[in-house]
Amino acid sequence: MRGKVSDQDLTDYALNELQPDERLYVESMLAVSEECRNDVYQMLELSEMLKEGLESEENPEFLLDTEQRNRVLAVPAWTFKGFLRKTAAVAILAAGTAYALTRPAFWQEGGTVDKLATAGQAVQSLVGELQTKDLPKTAEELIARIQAASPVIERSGDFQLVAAPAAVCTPPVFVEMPAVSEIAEM
Amino acid sequence: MFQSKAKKKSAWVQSALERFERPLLQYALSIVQDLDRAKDTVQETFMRLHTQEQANIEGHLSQWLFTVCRNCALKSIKKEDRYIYVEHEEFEHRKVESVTPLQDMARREQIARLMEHVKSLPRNQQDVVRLRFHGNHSYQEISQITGLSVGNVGFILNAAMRNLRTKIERDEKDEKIIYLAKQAAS
Repeated sequence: MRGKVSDQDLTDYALNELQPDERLYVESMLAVSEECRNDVYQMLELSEMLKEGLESEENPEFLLDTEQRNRVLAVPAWTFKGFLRKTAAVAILAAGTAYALTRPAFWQEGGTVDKLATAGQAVQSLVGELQTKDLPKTAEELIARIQAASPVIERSGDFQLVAAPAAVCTPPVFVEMPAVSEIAEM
Repeated sequence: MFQSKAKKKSAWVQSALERFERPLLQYALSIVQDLDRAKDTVQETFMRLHTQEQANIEGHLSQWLFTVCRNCALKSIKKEDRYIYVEHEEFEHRKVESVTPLQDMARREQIARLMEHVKSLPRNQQDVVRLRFHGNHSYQEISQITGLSVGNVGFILNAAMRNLRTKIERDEKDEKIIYLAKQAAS
């Protein structure tokens, strides 16, 4: 009689991997089933043998070489070169940021800050447009909507739809080149 | 301050090396099948330990070392593609009291045969068996080391142990047949 106890449960029990409630259930089955008890005994016996066997496989010569050992135990030293490299990287980054922020063009009207603000305003307006109306069907409609939504952009004229040039294949024009002597006379 | 921190870390790495050098070499060897390569793998594992903060690893050092060692070993043999995983579909200790020298010898022989059988197990079963019975890791820890789910670890371990038991039983039957044949002949 094994009840609902599976082989897996018995192995897990022998290896002490069951939850307390599962363990209780298996133990109740072990109390009445000799087959289960034998199974668990065999698993325990096998576990012991595996432990012994794998431990005995450990060869005393299984050690790192002296050189490898020394390398492992040598703490990576603090180097002035590494410190210098990190400091230089931080200094360059800070200098770059300071330079960009102190340029007059960055803060002036129409400068980087202004453009960023304009772009943000445009996006905000467009989102408002999209929430109230349908999605634009053409690029022209999209540009028109952005311009209508943002008077700042309309003024600056930054957003203009440029018509793509017609893809025509023009034949090569051969101009009669003046002679070298004529060029000299010019 | 730098000095004392470095000294502390060095002592920590050294104690880890003393404790886990052999088990890790054994484990790496079971994967890479080459002692020099296993040594390199273990060296790499301990070198990586140097780059870690002690506080982050304390409490699960064994698990961390086995995970890193496994990854390094797999990386090392990846080029040769020697590590072939077989799919999973295939799917309170009883003490021996008063063992006589003869029984002890028989047991040693049995363990030696068992170890041969362990080597013939599918790769994933062998891996889990080693982690369980040599590394003394729980299902949960093996799951974290190998990346398998906890349920799968239990399943593979159960399959491996049943597999080994079948092989041991077959050995015992063969021995009996040989013994009986010898008896009959004499």
